[in-house]
Amino acid sequence: MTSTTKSQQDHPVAVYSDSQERLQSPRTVKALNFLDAFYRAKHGQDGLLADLSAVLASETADVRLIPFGCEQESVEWFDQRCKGNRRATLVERKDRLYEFRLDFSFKHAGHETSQTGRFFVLQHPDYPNVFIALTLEPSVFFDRGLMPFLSGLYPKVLLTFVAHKRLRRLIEDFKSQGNYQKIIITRASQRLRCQNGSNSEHVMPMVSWPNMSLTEAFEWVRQNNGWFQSIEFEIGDSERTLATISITRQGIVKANALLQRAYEMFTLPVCKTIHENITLFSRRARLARPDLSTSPLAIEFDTDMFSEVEENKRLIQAMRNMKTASVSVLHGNPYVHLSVLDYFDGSAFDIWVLDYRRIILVPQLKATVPAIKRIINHVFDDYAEGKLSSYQGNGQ
Amino acid sequence: MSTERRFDDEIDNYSDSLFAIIGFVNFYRYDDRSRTMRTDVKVFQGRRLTPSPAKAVNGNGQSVEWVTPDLGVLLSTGDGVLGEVKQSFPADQNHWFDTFDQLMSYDDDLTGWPCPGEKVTSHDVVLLLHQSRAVAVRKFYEANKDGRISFVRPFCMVEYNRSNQSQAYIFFRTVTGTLSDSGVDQRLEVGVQVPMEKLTGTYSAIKIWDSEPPLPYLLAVIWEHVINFKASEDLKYPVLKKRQKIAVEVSVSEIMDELHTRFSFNQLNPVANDRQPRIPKQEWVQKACDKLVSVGHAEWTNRSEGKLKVRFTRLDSVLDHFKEMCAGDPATNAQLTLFENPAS
Repeated sequence: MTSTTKSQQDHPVAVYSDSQERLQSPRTVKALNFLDAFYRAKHGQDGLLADLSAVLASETADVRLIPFGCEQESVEWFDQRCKGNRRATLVERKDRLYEFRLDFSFKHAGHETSQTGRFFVLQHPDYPNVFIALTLEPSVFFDRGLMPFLSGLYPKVLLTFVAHKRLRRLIEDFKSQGNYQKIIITRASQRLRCQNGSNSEHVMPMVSWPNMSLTEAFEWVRQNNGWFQSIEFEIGDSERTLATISITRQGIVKANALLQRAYEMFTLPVCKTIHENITLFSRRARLARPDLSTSPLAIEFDTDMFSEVEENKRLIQAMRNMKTASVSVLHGNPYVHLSVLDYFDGSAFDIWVLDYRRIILVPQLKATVPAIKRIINHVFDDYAEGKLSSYQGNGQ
Repeated sequence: MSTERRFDDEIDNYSDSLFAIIGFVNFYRYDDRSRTMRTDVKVFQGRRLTPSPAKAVNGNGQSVEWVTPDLGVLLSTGDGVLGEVKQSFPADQNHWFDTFDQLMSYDDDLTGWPCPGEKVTSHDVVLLLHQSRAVAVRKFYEANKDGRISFVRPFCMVEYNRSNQSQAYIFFRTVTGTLSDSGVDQRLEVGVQVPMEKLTGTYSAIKIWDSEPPLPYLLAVIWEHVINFKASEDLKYPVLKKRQKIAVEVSVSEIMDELHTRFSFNQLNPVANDRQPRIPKQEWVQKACDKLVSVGHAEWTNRSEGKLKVRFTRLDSVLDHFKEMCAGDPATNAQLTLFENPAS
């Protein structure tokens, strides 16, 4: 990552300002050397992962993989797109692979700092609306530049969410299929759904380094009515650590080795989920149907979640916590009927609980894929995770 | 009881009646064998049917231009069902005759059914009533059926009640009488629990029926599904701050059209016909628009033409907001007090 002058942007060379002391460490200079070399080399869509793996084999670095869905089948429109103090510039496109430069600025230690870095975007070969952003840049680029840029493109760009159970299964599959002897959680950020007083509930963030086994950690979070926001673990055999990998609830992977395997075992399955969700959430709006009929979705639970009326209150409170939305309670006891407006785009929904094990979401006239994803994400985060499906009603 | 709590009860009653109508007509619409809705059964609500010359003048000597049953079903056999739904009855039983007079007006060779020739071979008359009053109303009917109350066509009373077990149901059962459709009659004789969940799609699509909705409820439906929808087409909508507003030009007629087309029983049987009035009625929407103006959410640009400019803003809970707005209105409170009935 570099700071550049305007004239140098086509061939970036590190030029540091006084405020960028952090960038002047020997390690950073070394990082810039290999980054510069990496960007000067030519990369193709089929060889990019191997090229990044080669860097990880020789340098102390991490690669981040950010899967996302996009309403268009191209991300060329990122070019010259500004989000806050961040601007993307398309450097090159080769078929499904895009290379972008991202210029961004932020306040650091009271000083405005301008920085530049690069990221790639790879279109999924089978799902044209699914992409993976990849970057070799350090954390500051990811935290201050790339993630805010991508998040700011909502609702055109959709990050996903990985349910707690699925996250566990992905890590277990990673371990078993790689025949790794041990996976030890080294750092975890979890959210616990906490009861606060009689009805109100909030999600409490926690960061811990439990040094637990996978089973212990997931069981602990489950017992505490929570979910992992991110989980970092070491993969190793009896003698050494092979890699440190982290995966977030949004399916974002960070790896310092075993990149190809992390891509196959984490990123590709998450891409499949994004594709499945886009398919499941598409054309749900009543206006998308000639007869204006409804096309509900169901969130199913394994247990009798709503056998106690208190659960209705918990759900209602959780929904009332939804930001940038109107939540109206038409009925709260013994059944639940809510009317929800999403103020990001005007989508509207009816929510019903008429069965101990199910929430029904009925999209109204307008119900976009991002709005459906957001409301379900909110239910999963603030109330409880369930299994999503299309709901067939209209019978008696 | 607080005014807002009274609004909740009013909204509950309004919704329960709606659920009961949808549940009852589905006994005729739903095909158990194919597990789909029959397309050869027509359902209508609030349709204007013309009485025969024999009943063109009522008992008070007034001419009757038409009758408008709460529910109507036209079967593929050419037979039909007409009915009235009553969630509550007044304490004074003398007023119960009004309901039966209304039902007896449906016991007629009516014109205006949604079929060629606009007549049916025969039809049943049904009173759909809440279970809490079913026994008392049955006794009342039986005590008067050979006198003040009489039906030529099959008459049937069907009770309904919402009940909760692991699923929420609407329970339907015949209280007295026999329905001509033997399949439906046999089911209702022993009682049927209709899982409400199975009908969530229809419940969500039909929000207004031929009975004036509680004002906060109607305001919320207009705000959420007409005003919000139009406002969302404005480029400012996604970035609108809490106190900022978007001007939405709309008319009473447009609101009626939108709600009729998209949120009334028109959903089940879309027809454009002089006999099928637009629901919601103009006076209800006019009243709602007046309310929007009086609380500062809108201004009339041409009241005689029913045109207004609404100032859309983000509300945390649309229904709560309008309950609060209406609770503070002495006119609405007076109306609630007038309709409050301990026996209902």
